[in-house]
Amino acid sequence: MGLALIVSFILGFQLRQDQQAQSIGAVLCTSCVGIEEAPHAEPTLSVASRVVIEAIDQPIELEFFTAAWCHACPFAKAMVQQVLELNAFISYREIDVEVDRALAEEAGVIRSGRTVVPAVVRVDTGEIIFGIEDLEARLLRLLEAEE
Amino acid sequence: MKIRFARRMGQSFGLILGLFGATGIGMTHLIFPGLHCYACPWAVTICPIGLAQNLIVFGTVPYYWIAMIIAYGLAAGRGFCGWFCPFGTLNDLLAFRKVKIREIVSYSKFVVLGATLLGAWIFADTVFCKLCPAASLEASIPYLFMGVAKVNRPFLIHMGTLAGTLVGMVLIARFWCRYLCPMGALLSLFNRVSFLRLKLDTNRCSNCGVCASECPMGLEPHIDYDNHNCIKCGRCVEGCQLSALSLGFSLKGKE
Repeated sequence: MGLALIVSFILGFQLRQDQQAQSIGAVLCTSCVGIEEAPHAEPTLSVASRVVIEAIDQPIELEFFTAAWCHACPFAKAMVQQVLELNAFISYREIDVEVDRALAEEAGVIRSGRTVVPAVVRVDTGEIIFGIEDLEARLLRLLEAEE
Repeated sequence: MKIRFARRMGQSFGLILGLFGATGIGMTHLIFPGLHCYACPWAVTICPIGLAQNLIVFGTVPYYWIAMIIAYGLAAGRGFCGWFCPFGTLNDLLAFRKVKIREIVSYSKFVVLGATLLGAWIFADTVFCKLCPAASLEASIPYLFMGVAKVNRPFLIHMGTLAGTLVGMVLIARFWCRYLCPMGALLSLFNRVSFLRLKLDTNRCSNCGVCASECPMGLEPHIDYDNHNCIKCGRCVEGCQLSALSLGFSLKGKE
């Protein structure tokens, strides 16, 4: 038992698993702990939303915060990409919070020390959307907000 | 009285460590020696069960996790349940009905542990976390007030499991620790070899059974002091007027 303990510790630290554990703990994936559900189906923007998005005539820069293992992130990303396809004024940057925590900190997607993913930030207003619950309506509000 | 005071100190320390993030310290590399949600806004340690599921999803051989579990198991076994775990402390606070444990049913926590690990592998997801009552209490509710969580289906499922567990705790002392806790299942594997040990002096024991009436886990220490379910809380030691039971650190075979 003692030998197993020592060998496991050595291998664990050598493989930097302690850091892996810390990075898992430092990111709050909203669907992973049951704060919301990760839908399996692709999102589809409603016709009304499409009309509103197409009518936007000013440049808007979005930042999308994600993690490789976040289950809700692909849904959010797919919806943001649909928005991008509709309007060339809207640009987007994807940020892996495990790679660039400093950017997440700068954008304010950290709550009580946890980086919350998925998160969409409108750069000019600093407004943030966490998670995917009612995402379409919240995304519209984010895009419609005045600078 | 001494044991009770020391245990209250240990439980307070567990609670303080569990919520130490309130000081502004972020997540550390430490694995918590009990059931405490790492998604808790004030957690500075990682939940061993949550981490195990994540590592299974990643396909990592979890050496660091194994090392920490062995270290905790060898140090105190289920002593962490009785002396440290905040969710165990909640069980303690609601332990009004000390009923005898159903030994065979107590193995259900191994089923929960197995299902948790298997679920992570099959669904590539942290399934247990979505049902865990500790997560309900320590993550879902705080995040609702912080505007991150909403009252939706997952939240209601969390509240359902929390309510069910709380009712169980009131009806059966240490209900969660006895029958459902996967971390308790893991630590119980080390209970008989851990340094923190409950010892029985059979020459002093009169088989009066007072220890059994004191035990929150519903065990019979005068018959089976080495039970894998024992959380080493020391209630039986305090209750024994003949000082037949004692609790202390020693190596196996050197008592």
